[in-house]
Order: sequence, then structure tokens, then C-alpha cells
Amino acid sequence: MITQEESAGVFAFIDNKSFYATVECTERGLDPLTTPLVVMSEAANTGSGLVLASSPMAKQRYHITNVNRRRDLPDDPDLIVVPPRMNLYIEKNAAVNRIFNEYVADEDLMPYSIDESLLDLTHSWRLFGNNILAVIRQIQQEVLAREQLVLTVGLGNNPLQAKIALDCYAKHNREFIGVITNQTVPSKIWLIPNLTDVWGINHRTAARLNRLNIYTVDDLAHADPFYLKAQLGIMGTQLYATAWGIDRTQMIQQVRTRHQSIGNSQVLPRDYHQRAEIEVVLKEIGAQVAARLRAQNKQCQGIHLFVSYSMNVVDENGRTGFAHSLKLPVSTAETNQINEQVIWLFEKYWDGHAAVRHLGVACTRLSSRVGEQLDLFHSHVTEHLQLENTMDKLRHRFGKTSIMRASSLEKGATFIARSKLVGGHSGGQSLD
Amino acid sequence: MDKVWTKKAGQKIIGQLDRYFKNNIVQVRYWIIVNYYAPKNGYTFFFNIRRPHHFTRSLPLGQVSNCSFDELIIILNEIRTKYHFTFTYYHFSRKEQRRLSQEVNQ
Repeated sequence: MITQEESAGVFAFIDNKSFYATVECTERGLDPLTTPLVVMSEAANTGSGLVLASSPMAKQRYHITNVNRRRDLPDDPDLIVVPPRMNLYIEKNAAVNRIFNEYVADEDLMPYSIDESLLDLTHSWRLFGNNILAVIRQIQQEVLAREQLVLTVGLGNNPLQAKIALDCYAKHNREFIGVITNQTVPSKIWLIPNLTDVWGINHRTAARLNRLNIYTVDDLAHADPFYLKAQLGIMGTQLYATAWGIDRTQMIQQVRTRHQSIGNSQVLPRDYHQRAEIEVVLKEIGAQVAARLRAQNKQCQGIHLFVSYSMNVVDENGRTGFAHSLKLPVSTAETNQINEQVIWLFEKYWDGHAAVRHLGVACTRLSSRVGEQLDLFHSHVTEHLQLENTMDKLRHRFGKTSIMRASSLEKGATFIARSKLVGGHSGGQSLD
Repeated sequence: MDKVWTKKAGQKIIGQLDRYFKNNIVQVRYWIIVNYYAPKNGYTFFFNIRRPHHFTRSLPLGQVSNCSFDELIIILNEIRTKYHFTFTYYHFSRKEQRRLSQEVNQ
């Protein structure tokens, strides 16, 4: 399947080992590989506490995994539990990417997540040595020396091979380096024991493949691609290519991002039963989404609302929540207009009894904000928008809580509590 | 950094300690970690709390970057004006450790 013309670039998928936990260990002067440390968020909506990351030793000694709860942690004084500091992790990620940038051009570096980056070293690695593994070790040592972080690296002839090498081989290797090339695909990818260990195959996809009598990556690689496409659509072809380690992504080629929607959601700190309390939070989320729309110079013509009930709660129709959308007559970025529709949707579909735990609002059908559509029934739209633009500027300059709606002081409101969070977790603080 | 700034940094750490130190549980061990943090050429401070038969909590008090050793001593002495928790030092040379034991008020 891999043809002579198949590109043989040099790609490195680099992961910061147990990133949050490693940052916390090094900040404390502790060895990240030998210290049992857990980063646990105790934000109001995590219940008693949610484990965000654990060091390799905590995983090994106490079998702690990410998204464990406070109740799963052993009462061992050797175990160190620390709160998250999201701003610090973002800063560290930027510092690590700056080091990567010394090895590749801007267009050859793609930050993939807060702790993973993809580097296309095809054109630049020879500037730093004659052996690619030596260059990778040099990057690892440089990051260790400058930022005291441990890197795991997957190497491959394309991004897919690099990612699979990282996930399946690098983490269990003494040097934290895993390698897959076009030549080693049969011995490295086909022998991976579980389908779900491969990037892009989750439990549901694995179950669908099982129904087609495909139980291993080897089965997938030797299945009929036309049959896979007929059964699974374009995903069938993609999975077949994955099994053969084929990925023809051109990193330099810009992917046109289609902003299909802008939305925000939040898990509430407790069950909400009162209509007024729920509506306060919905308005806060609506205002947040509208502010993001304005910041990106967009306006929307569609509103989407989703509501999830508390665990084990079902409404009169046997549902565990609902999601509904509507189309607006004109595009808008004005908070009040968006919130009116959100509240209308909520009141129409909520049964008035079910305890609510998770809320989300999204603006859809986005277009550029080139002007405001005037209409006879909303004569003050322009003034409202001017007011909101001013509020946005104040928030940008003086912080999120410098100006807010009075409803955020009402019972149930979460705006003030969440203003200090980053990605839903504590941002941390500095004396600088 | 000047002396006023370092004292202010010490006061901020005291403010954090005021938040974290409740002193309402018996048999609890409290101590402060002071770590020389090379990437920022400064120091990081953490407040550790160990209750009996319980895991250890380590709470960030703050960090100072581009801070000299002499300035650190001022910060630590400022903390000593209110709290007398044990300081545990990481990544300090033997000479620095000796100076800390002599110059930081016990």
C-alpha cells in the first residue's frame, strides 16, 4: 500500500510528560519522575475535587489516572496534592514552543494541545547534526535544561506515524523516543494489540469495526478498502490509511477554518431547580458568547441551546436534557437579542421541574459584522451595541469584573466566581 | 528590585499564608518550601500542610523572578515577622544554606 512516491519526511510529535504535574514538581524543586504528585482542581463544579494530572510515580504507586476524583486518592502523606495554575501552564507551553521554534520555521511548528506540538523537521534537522536521533536528544536536553521539563517524542515519516509512535512506543521507552517509518509500519502499527490504542479510533469506532469482523490493526490493514468505504463512508478510507501509516498532510498548507459556531458551556456547581437561577446563568453565558462574537467581528443568525439535567434525572418525556436551535430574522451580535431567544428556547422546552447541571449556548450561522440591520421593532439596537462595545473595551482594559450586569449579583450567578478561572480551573497567581 | 519591593513581596506571601493557615486542626505539620528556580533566576514559595493520615497539600504562595540571594533573605525575614513555620530550602549551595540559617530569623 505504501508506494515508492509516499513522502518520507521527518516529523516529530513532542509531548511534555505529565505536563501539569511535571511543571508543579519542578517549581517545587522535586524530581518529576520520582515524586508522587497530583494536580487536583477543587473548583465548585468539580464536586469534592477532580484530578487533572498525576506524575508518573503517582500513577505507578497509587494507580491514579486523570479525571479520578478526590475520593479515589489514598490518604498517604507521601502523596502531594496541589491546585492547578492554568496561567503558568500556558506560559510554560509558550516557552517550550519558543525552544522548538529554534529548530524549525514557524510554518513547520504546529502546537497541537497545551502539552503537545508537531514539528516538521524535514528541512531543518541536518542543520543541527548528522543523526536525527541525536537532534531529538538535543531538543530533549535543551528543554530539560532551560525549562526543567521532560519530553517524550514520537518520530515518523509523516505526522500520523509520529503520533502513533508517541502514543504507543515513546512513553514506554527508556529514552522517551519512539520511531515508526514507512518501512516499519507492518512491525510497529499492525502489531498494536488494541484498536483503541491507535489515534483516531475510539471505542465506538472500534465497535463498528468489530461488527465488520475487524478486531486488530492487522485485520484493518488487510480489509478491502472499498468494503470499508461502503460500510463506514469516508472514515473507512481514512481508517484504512491509518492502518497503513499513510498521512499526506501538508503542514505548510493553511487549513481554512470555518467558524461554524461560537459557544460556551458550563457545569454548574450544584443542581439548579429554580427558573430564575437558571436564567441568570443562561444570560451570563449568552453575554459571554455575544462578547466573543463582537471580539471576532462576527454576528450570528442562529442560536443553539443545550441543557443537561443532573445525574439520573429525567423529565416527563424521559429525556436527560434537551438541545434546540432557532433561526433569527436578522444577524446580530447584541447581547439582549441573543439572550431573549435563549430564554425563549429554555422556557419553551424545560419542564419546570428537572434539576439542571450543565448549560450551553452557541451562536451559529455566523457572518462578518459589516453593519447592523435596522428594524422597526427594535429601535435602540445601535445604542445597545455602542454600550456593549464600550463595556467590552472596559473589560479588555480593566478585567472581566470591572463592569458587569447587576444580575450577576443575584443568587445562582457564576460570572464572578468563574472570572478568575482559566479553562474552568484556577489560573494561579504570581508576585511579579 | 529594591528593598521596598522585596518587603512588599514578603507581605504578599504573608497575605497568602493568612488565607491558607487556619490553625483549627491539631497534629498538623506546616512548612514552607523555598526553591531556587533556575529558568526564572528567582525563587518559588509553597506552603505545605500535612494532616495525620492524610495526603500532603502543597499550596503556591508566589514566585519572584530575577531576584538575588540577598533580596531573598529580606523576603524571608519579612515572612518571619508574622509566621515562624520551618523553611525547607531546595537547590541552594551549602554556603547559601549556611547564610540562610544564620541570617533568617529563627
